[in-house]
Amino acid sequence: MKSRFSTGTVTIEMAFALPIFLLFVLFSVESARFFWTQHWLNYNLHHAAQLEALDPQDGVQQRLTRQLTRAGVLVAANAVRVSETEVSWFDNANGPLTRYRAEAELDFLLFRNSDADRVLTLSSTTWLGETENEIN
Amino acid sequence: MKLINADFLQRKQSGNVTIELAIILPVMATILALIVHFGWYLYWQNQLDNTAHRLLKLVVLEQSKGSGFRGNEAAVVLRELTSTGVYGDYIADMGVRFSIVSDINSRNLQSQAGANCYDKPAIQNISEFGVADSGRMEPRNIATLNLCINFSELLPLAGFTFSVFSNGLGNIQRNSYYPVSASAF
Repeated sequence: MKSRFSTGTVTIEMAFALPIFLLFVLFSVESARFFWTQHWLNYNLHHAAQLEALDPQDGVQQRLTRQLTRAGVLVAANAVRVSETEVSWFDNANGPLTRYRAEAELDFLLFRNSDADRVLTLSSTTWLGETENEIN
Repeated sequence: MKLINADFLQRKQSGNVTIELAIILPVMATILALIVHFGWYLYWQNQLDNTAHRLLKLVVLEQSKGSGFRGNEAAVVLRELTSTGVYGDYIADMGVRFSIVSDINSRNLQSQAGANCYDKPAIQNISEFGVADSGRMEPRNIATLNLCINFSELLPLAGFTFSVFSNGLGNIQRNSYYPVSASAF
């Protein structure tokens, strides 16, 4: 038969262990979400840039936002900014080259900046050349 | 029969828990640090794979279209990588090596910029890429872009493995391959 002491010990141990365990679970889930988001950002940025170059619509940023929202990566209050820069490679002798940089602001529970807006910004960079569009 | 003193048992159990925690906590912390470190390692491997492939494709396609390969491809790629801050402050050291193995024009081109790529072979046996005997795919010109980065200053465990082994977890090196048309030379 259990004594009052042992019952109390279990309760106290549980009071210590449960928050730590839940923190671990949350950490794992948020970590997975971080890597998943980064992967989707890398993948979709390049394809959005490529598709927009082949079939111009409303810009790479809008296209990327649509793709990420459709994939469930972006939810309400998340935002994506895309900047485009013409870069010079090999003295730009072989046609224009564009560098795209995307920044996604996501509301993570654990990985938060110390900023006032408390969001985590993931970034991705890709490059697109004229020749690449012609071939693909 | 002599009864055991309950108060004594309680004190004994408390001591056991403390000792157990003293053993388990450092072990758990080490395991957790390893898991986190390995996660970062794989993450940067993936980032390098992605970047290497995008840049190699651009170099090959742009140079093939223009005046051909000039020998400064690695320097141009390194300049692009550093100027964009792709890896931000995470990089301790970085190296780029660009090479083309050619069995058609008997011209092998190689250029390197930045840090050493830690002595892994940049040019590999051409037979790895072609199936010469089957008649279905001939060996051809293969461009290789090799990116290597050193994280040993960023992650303590990477620094530790770097000091213990000749090529520690702090070094990440990835190769990307892309075919080059013979007319590009």
